[in-house]
Amino acid sequence: MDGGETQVLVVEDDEATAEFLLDNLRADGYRAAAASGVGEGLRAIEVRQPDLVLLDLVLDDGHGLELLDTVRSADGLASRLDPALPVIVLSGRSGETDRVRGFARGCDDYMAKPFSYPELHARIRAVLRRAADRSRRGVMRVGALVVDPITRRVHLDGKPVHLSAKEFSLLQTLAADPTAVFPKEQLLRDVWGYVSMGNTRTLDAHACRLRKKLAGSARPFVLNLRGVGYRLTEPL
Amino acid sequence: MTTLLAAVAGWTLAAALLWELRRRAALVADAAHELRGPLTAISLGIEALRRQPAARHRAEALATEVCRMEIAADDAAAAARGRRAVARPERLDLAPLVRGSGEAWQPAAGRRGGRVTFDWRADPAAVHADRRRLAQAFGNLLANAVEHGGGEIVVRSRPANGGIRVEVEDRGTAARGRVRRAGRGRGIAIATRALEEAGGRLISFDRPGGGRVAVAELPVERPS
Repeated sequence: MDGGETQVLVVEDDEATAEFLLDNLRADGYRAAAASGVGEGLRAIEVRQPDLVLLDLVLDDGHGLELLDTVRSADGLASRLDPALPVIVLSGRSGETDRVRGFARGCDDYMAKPFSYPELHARIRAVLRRAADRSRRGVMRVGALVVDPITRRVHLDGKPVHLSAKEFSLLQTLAADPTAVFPKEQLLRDVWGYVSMGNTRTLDAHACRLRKKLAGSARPFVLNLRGVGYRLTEPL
Repeated sequence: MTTLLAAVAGWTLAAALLWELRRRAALVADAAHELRGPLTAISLGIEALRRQPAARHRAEALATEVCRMEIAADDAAAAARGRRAVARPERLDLAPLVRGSGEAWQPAAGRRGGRVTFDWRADPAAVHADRRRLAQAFGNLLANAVEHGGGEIVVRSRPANGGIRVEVEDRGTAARGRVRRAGRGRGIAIATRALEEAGGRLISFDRPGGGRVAVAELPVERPS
């Protein structure tokens, strides 16, 4: 028993394989559910928000890599899909080309059928451990913008963006809830530590510089709602 | 003109043969691929069975037999490309694997009025080999002893020459004949090749008083 509250989604069209996988996962303490196709799998990911997906490639209504593509290309705004969701591919094809293709499309691990459950379980634990490290870091992703609060690095479309300390703090605050409007007094209090409403020109100047530095992508960032406050980006 | 016709006929025949060979190879590859799904389900089912203490014994036996099916499926897929399955060597304990093979053949031995007994006197032995190949080797040795030998089958182990020696001995009470001899030959050949791939060898000889003894010798992995 070591699954705890970890939720695993099995996307597999072979009923016997799915059922026996659920039996083993539940016996190890995981909360496990199954979906048989790409569409059902994506809906289950959105509704159940699993911690990890075990993904078969040949499914009832399409190819498992289509599901993986949809997850990896999600921006976290249009849907409830987390692009960093850990995915282990379970495939009947064991060739090097197939495995390389799986990793190139963004799977975290790849197991060829038939596999032993103890080995799969060991890999599930390893992938979850890495994912836990990642989420502890608190990396935030909003569309093409990635904010790492530990290294204080910011990337837009994969390119580094250099920010001052206050600009980074402002961005970090806004990115915590990307489509919410933050009143100016809240930003002045949280970022600058002002107890009472001070001069908002400091905030406006930093927000303007931050907007310019993040102007390289298709999505506009740091939107000013006059007289109210700022939000990082528009909801889709 | 005749030469030209002969050349065209020869080329056509060669092309037809090549096409037929490719078609057959594709059929074998497809069949081998289709085995992977059910094998996965069976293997997961056995793992679930293993968790039930009363069924653990049988589950070990089934797991060993599934190993044999896996290597057979991989060999079939590789054979379509004129190869053998790629080896996946690992450090493994030999005793449970051999015992699993013995347990798998226990019901068949019982139906013939015999049984499989174990006399394991070697220390716990770790060998570096592909588990599936060893399951194939010992599965064939046990199958031979039960189907072509009969009576009490003794699986014995002893340390030998820095390695381990596993004997599979039958009493030879099963009806003998040319067909049975022929059947024994194929199983022995498969077991020999599997053991050689694991760095070992197979010797077999007649048992004084009737029956056969198959001796598998394997190198033991020393702790690093």
